[in-house]
Amino acid sequence: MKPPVLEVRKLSRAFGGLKVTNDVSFAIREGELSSIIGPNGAGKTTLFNLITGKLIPDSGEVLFRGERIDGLSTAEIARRGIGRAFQITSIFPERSVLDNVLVAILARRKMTGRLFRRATSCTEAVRESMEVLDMLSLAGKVNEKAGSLPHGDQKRLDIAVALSLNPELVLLDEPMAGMSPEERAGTVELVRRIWKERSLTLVFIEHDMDVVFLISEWIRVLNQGLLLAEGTPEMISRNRDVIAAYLGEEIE
Amino acid sequence: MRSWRSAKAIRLGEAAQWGAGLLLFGTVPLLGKSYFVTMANEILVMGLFAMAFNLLYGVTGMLSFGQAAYYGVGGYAVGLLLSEGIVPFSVALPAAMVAGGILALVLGPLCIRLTGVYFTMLTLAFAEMVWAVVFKWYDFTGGDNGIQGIPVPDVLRNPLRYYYFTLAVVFVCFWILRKIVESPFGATLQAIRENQERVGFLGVNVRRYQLAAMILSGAFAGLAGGLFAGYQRSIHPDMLHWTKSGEVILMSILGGVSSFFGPLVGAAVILFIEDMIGKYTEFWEICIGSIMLAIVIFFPRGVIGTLGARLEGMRGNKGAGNEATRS
Repeated sequence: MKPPVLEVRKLSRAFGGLKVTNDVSFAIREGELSSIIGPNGAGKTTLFNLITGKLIPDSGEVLFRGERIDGLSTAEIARRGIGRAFQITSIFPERSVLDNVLVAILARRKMTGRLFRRATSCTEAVRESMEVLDMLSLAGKVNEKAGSLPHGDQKRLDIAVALSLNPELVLLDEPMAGMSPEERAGTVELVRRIWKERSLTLVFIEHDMDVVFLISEWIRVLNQGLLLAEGTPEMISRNRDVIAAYLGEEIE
Repeated sequence: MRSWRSAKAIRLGEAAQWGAGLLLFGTVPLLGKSYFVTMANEILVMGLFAMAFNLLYGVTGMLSFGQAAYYGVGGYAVGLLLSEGIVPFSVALPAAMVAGGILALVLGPLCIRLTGVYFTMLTLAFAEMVWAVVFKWYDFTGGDNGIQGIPVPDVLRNPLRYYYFTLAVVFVCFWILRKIVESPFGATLQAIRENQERVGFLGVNVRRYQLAAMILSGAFAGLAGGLFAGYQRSIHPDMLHWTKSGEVILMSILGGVSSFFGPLVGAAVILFIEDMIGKYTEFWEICIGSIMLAIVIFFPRGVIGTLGARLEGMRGNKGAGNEATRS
């Protein structure tokens, strides 16, 4: 079995008296396409925030490729190879679609300090930006203002920005939230294709159980801050705790 | 935004702006009145100061209410170095730039610890401290008397020559600022303005870039102050007063913070109003206030910003029917 890319050990974080992440431990294997599910307030986004350094855990450890990363800055963690897209779309709204991705690529190439050249004349970086945008079917909109794109396009742009960092591990927080059914179907295919082509380790949070059970190799279920269960879709769909706590009776 | 306009057309449009600006300022002396030259000189200096401020505000999204400190320190660098006869003018002027930059290097890290309105208040507080030092330290700065009779080299004694010198320096600075905004560094600053948190998630140390923006802005503000000191041949603590900081904010917003030359246009408008109406009444600030009100209502993106968007919108409708995406 391949070594874990990311390992979370006894991770806890409380807000006031509320334990939003409660003694959570798991390991994500290399190349895995997995999802995190759980009812609202289960602590899914908080978990992403703890992994990416936006929040600092009260206790426990986060290990990326065997090295502790908890306590490091978001920037340092991103440089090590963890990319993230956001539940509430986080882009650069007044900039063009190309600029959104270009700045991420320049950041990865450590070119953001350069002063004496047009950003759009950095041919290699622009070419790479176009590739990423093409992959996410945004190539036809490179000159449009990001903030004026339709919602679905903005979500995909957010993913494009995350992928521009060439991360080894990608965390997608509800990548399909607010999309129409057709867009969802398209995005599911897109996510799966990118995962395959780039041989990424990919974790996504999602509420749409059809999507979750369709593409996940592995599912982790959070409930009230606790890791309730993890396993293959089949195992999860038969797990009594999960059914009781979250899924209800209507599974598949 | 630009999908229906080719890059070439944009370049041409920009070149036309630069040409028009140079032509306009270059021919002012032909009007034959020294009044116009003095006015144009002041517009150029304050324009540079406002554009330096806008690198921080319009580009990086940091509202500093203390930029007069850098402007003033630049002025005092030139004034003190020349009146003490320490270095020639050719060294004193670049020293003004360095002085502004160094002051930002010192105060910047203290200010960028906070964001939003708290950052703004810190910039104001530190600038007030610098002002107080300059105002009180009679032995060194001349206190509230300032320093008069700053010697400038003979070649620049003629106001007309000094004006053309200012014109050249200021436009070179504009060109450099333009380069900075378009560079990868500038793209990063603009991304910070749009979404600071996300830039951190790209692996960029945001504070370092904010500090760099403050240093650059401080350096160009210092140079503007130095140019002013050389022209006036006197300096005064008023250069560091908070109202001076407020003035460049006003100029930038009035002209339009999202357009490159907006702050320069804003500087021209404000200085004209100050001068025209100031002749008739000492209450010219009321007029500035009313005009600001009208601007905010009718030109929400500043004069240049709003007119530019209108123009693009009109062309866009005629063209491919592409909705102007700049709302």
